Amino acid sequence: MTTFAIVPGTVVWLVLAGVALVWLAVLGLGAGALLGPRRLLPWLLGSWLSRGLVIAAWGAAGWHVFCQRP
Amino acid sequence: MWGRRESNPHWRRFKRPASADWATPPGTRFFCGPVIISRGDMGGRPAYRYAAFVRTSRLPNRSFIHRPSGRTSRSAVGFALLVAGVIALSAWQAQLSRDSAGAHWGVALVVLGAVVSAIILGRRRQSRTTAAWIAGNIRAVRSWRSQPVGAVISTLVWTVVIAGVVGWDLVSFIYQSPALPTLSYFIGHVTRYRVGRGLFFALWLVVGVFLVSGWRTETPR
Repeated sequence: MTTFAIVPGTVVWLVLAGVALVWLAVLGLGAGALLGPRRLLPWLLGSWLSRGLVIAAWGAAGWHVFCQRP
Repeated sequence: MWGRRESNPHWRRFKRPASADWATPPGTRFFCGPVIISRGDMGGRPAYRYAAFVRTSRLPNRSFIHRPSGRTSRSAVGFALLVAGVIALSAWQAQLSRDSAGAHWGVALVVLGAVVSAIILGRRRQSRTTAAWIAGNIRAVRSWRSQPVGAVISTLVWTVVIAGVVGWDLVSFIYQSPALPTLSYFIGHVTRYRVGRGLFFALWLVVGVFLVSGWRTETPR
């Protein structure tokens, strides 16, 4: 079974994950005035420049995870 | 009683509007043949009742507006092939290790295919030009005081979350210390197993499909 040692970096990741979860929960509760992923993604993919950068990041992440990491 | 125009006192009082302003709101275009009505603010997807948007309609009662994105049998076949391809590629990648040539070539070819597909699919279908996108963002940031409070708060929180994840991952990657694990370190604990690697690869492919094909304009500019 995989276990993780609680080191300072892990604590930061847990805080970030908590913030992200709370934010998604707030969005999910139906705060209509807030901008959720459904409006963020069209904005992010709204131009060639931004779409190209996102696809480049996606490709680099795939290479790192599937070709470099165990 | 008023069967004849000459004897009708109301004649010409309720004049029918000229054809240009009869049931034709701004931004609406009509084409012959299959009915295509485009309005930038319609949003949403397939078929709309014309009367839902325009009260005074010249179209027959049961007419529908068919937008070009309607799911056809051809697109259903394409979708099925796409799903089969994702499953097959993921199952194949699940068997490979990160050091194998197959894994390297597989990922490289998928990324290359994604770039080529994005260029082909996106030709004249990108919703905005890069210059207009940048100008719009600059304008929105400069006029942040006049923006809705919800939009300002959302932008700030999204910026903190995304910059926090990317920035902290970058810091951890640069230091390469056991006390500062990267995000891929955690993912690596899943992808070291075949099932985990296959599932993560499928997720990565699905995300890529959305990034390549999602949120295009439905009619070429």
